[in-house]
Amino acid sequence: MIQLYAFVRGLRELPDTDLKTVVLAHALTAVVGPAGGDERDDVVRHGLLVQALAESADAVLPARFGERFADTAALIAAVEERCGELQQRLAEVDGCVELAVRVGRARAEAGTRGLDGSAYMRARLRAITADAAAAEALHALLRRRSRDTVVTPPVASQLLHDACYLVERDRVDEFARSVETYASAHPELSLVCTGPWAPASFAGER
Amino acid sequence: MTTALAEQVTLIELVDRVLNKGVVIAGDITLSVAGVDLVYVGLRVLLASVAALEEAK
Repeated sequence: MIQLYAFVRGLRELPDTDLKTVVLAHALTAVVGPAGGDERDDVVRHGLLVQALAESADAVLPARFGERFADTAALIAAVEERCGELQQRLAEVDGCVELAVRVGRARAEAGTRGLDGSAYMRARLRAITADAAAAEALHALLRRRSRDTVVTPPVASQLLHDACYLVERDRVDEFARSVETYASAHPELSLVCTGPWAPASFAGER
Repeated sequence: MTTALAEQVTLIELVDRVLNKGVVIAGDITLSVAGVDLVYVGLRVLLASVAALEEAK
């Protein structure tokens, strides 16, 4: 049983001796290894190996954990009809990493203390509208510094914006500086930026 | 963000990415890892991020 880690292009070295490459149709290269277990450590190891692959290759399409096949022949058969599509996706992420940005409200409630009910509600509405506009402006700024984006609708009221950005490697510092600069200019927001990650958000179905 | 919290967010996000994102070929969806329902993994990313945002206030 083998486990699929990623599809790659321009791989310079394998990060682990357990891994090997398999060349499929359309010269698509897959990185596989022995199938492991389903424990948390197996998941973390999988993630770390994919991250290492991202540092050793021009382009990486991470596979979701648990993509297991009986053997190389089974992998080749399963991927056969999708090789062209996957090569296209590799071209789209070539030279890029992924950065995640989450924006929350940091506005203190002090400004609304002592207000009566309707004044409080108006003040809160103004604050919420201003926060949403600021988060939208940040997204517009970061879109210009990235090749592609995936926005996740925030599912918690504390979150204003939750998105992943596909950023060219040599523009990562510029992207991070933009986030820092925006955070400094907008103390009413709190921002968390993580990465660079292998571009998993841009690898699967969109 | 403190180093400990940053490490926690990074590790949880790494796990979430491996389990919930990426190319799917076989289509078999892993429903649990180490007996933990994966819906809670995604939820933990959210909670860790919110904790980080709260601390940044």
